[in-house]
Amino acid sequence: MAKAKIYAGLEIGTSKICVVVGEVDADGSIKILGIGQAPSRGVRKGEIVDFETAQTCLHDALVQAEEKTDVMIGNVYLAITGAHIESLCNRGSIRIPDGPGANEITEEDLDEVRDLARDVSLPQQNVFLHSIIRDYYVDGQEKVQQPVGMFGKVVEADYHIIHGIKTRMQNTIRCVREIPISVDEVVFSPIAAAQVMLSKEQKDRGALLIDIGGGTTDYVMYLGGSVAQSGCIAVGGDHITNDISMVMKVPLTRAERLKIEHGSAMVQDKGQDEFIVLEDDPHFSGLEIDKVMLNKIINARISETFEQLRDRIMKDDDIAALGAGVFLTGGSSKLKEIDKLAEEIFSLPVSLASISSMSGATAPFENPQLATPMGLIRYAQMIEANKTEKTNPFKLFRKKLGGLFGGSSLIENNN
Amino acid sequence: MLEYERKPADGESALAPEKVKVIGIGGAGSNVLDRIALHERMDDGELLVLNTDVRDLVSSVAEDKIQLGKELTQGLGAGGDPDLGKEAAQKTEDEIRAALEGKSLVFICAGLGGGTGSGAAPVVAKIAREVGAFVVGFVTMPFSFEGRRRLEQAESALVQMEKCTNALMTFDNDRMGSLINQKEGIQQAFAAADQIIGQSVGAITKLVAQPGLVRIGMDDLLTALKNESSRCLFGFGQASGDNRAQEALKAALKNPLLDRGQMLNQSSSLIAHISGGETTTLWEVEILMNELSKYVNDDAHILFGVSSDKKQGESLSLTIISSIGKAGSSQLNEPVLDIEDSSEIEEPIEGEGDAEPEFGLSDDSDKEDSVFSGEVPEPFISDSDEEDSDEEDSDEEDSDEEDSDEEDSDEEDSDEEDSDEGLQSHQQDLIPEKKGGRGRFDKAEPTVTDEGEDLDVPSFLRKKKK
Repeated sequence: MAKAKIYAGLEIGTSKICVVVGEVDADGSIKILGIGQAPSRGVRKGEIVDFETAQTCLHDALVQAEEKTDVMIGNVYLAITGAHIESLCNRGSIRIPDGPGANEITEEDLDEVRDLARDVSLPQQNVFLHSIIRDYYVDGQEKVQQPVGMFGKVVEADYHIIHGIKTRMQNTIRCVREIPISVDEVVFSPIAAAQVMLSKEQKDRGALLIDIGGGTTDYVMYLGGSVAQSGCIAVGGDHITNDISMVMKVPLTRAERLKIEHGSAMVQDKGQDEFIVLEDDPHFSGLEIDKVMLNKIINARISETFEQLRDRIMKDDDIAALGAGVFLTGGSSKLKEIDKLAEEIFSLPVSLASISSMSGATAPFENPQLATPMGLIRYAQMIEANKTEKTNPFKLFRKKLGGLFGGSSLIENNN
Repeated sequence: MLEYERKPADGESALAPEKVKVIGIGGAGSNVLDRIALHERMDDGELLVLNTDVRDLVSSVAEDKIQLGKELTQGLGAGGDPDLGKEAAQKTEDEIRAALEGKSLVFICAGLGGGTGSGAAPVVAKIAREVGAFVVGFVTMPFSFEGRRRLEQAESALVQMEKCTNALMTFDNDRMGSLINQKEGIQQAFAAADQIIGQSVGAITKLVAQPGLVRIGMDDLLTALKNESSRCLFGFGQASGDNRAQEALKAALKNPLLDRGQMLNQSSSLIAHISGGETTTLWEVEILMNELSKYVNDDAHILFGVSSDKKQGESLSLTIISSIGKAGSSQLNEPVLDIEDSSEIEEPIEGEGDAEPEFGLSDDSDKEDSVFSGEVPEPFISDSDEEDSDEEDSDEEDSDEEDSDEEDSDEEDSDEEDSDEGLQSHQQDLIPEKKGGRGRFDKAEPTVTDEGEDLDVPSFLRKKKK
């Protein structure tokens, strides 16, 4: 019996740095051993702007995680995000040569079709982060899951390609490396979060996961079980706080508290001329805040972000095709009535995502802020499972997960 | 760091200054000319002012003056009647023709809407074309408060100008007016408009006249401005210091016509011309162009030019010229000078064609040159003493602004909004930035949508503005 393996997932977020340590049993079940968290400084919009400061915070979080779990963290799965990360879908197609005993599709053919699909012109400074297989088509037959061994003349593959600016991704990696901790894999945040926030059934029916963090709003949309779109809008909870601070003319710390304690994404009906009294302190003279006004500011920001997201998605896909609806996660999804607002804008059922497919005592970790690092553990387990399968003699399963998430050449390049 | 290799002989193959004529027509035109004469230091061309109103004519600082329709108006203005302006110009045609003979590049500045500008400008443009010059028009459209009548006159004159010029840059006074401080008087609003046109003329002359490592020619100018009957986008920024590439871009984007760079993504082609001293590095050019490309549509055609000019010393300047048009705007007029022909006018001259040497930040005493205390400059300031005193005035007024700029601080939105003096500084950030700062994101990378909206500014504030 194979023994349990321990993984660590790390997310360097705009508002907090979070390390989750999880144990994966031989049967694939995941148990969270503990987490380490530290407020993040030196990070703006999901990307490190102040190296030294961010590193100090990262160190704090790691030490905390190590203490709590009694695990030495030597390598991590790292989640990254940033407005520079973009995605696209591309199709590659090859013709299987005729010949004696030919027309049978082989692994090599699939590798070739994959290379073709990935052969898109990226901006010069960009590199692939992920290329995820969506569907195979064999002679026009749609949604072939496993074409190896089938007969066909033309094989096509749809790949979802996520790419970003190489140097900017490397900066985050370098920050971790200098701790020093090695980075096993770099994962685009929403892809990681979706591993735990969406069930297979939801992915099949079509779901949109929106992770509203401190500095960015990341999203991934699944259609027919595979990733159709993903991306990042560099607007998050920080913006809401900043908006409140600027419009109301209150300090940022006060604005943050107003947002958390009194804020709501929906503007209440009139008749409620409620005021929030801000106590004065040595640096700030007291103020009365109109609650309707406060919510209007929040509402304007979130609806704008949702509308942008919707418009982005609608460019390529019909949002109405999402059978399972919209799922919200991330720290800012704790904002009151944000689901109602999302329902209004997307005209789809909206729910606050909860962590699925984790065994053990997950209750203490039921926090949307932890979605991404938790997802990283699941992701790690899938990658690992994939690796072991490759050495498995049962060829049929070999490619089932193969190529699912391949493509990150960042780590090698960074050496 | 990679140094740009300089051409062995700098200063060669520029446009001969005697072949360039800058004409101001009517009251607005002569104001622009005054501004050019005083502040832009046009070494590159002769200034000519045409007017029906003899009083205006007398007060102009241009070296050449032609009174239009002496007998017709008896030295009075055209009284807001374009027909009278047109007739006056036609009656003086011979004189105008004589003045334009042999010119290869003619700039015509006029304020449309009034009598002389609207009436005479098309006539003059036509004459200039007939003598074989490449004609670039700079026209202002009246403020909407000037009334419907004037707007109609301006529009019909605009149509005529389009036919008669090779390239036309249209400046909407409303736009410039609305972007300056609400408290400003009308004088200042007009003066701001003049200032921008003056800058454009100076920059364009410099652009086409200056020898370049990567040259921008008339052909490029035509491409960038091919959306006729459109709004012209123009930005100019200059900076020095460690971060000069970014600073210059920032200053250029602050120009009201660019609306903080947000207008740029609507344009299909634009000129980006970088001019710097010997210390300009390829790396800086690369940074600047990379930054600029963020504001520009992916498909847009960027006509890129670099020139190096010793006079600029440590400073680096960026000129952005483009236009955005109404859908289906008219095609290019047949240019008098073809792309090939444009080389003909680049006669080599000794010296160099630097229209604005005084902008160098490195030289403190000089940079205050953009006198802008809110008034149209006093006429007849031709001797340097008076100009100096003027400079001192603005020096005091500008000092706050100056400090913040020199300390290399990032955009101090709110400060600039409130200070009247923010209107003008050496960096040409003459108009305050868009209302509504970005708070804590001031120093972060901006998040701008494809539509050009700055997402760091509170949505609430943006929504209210709409």
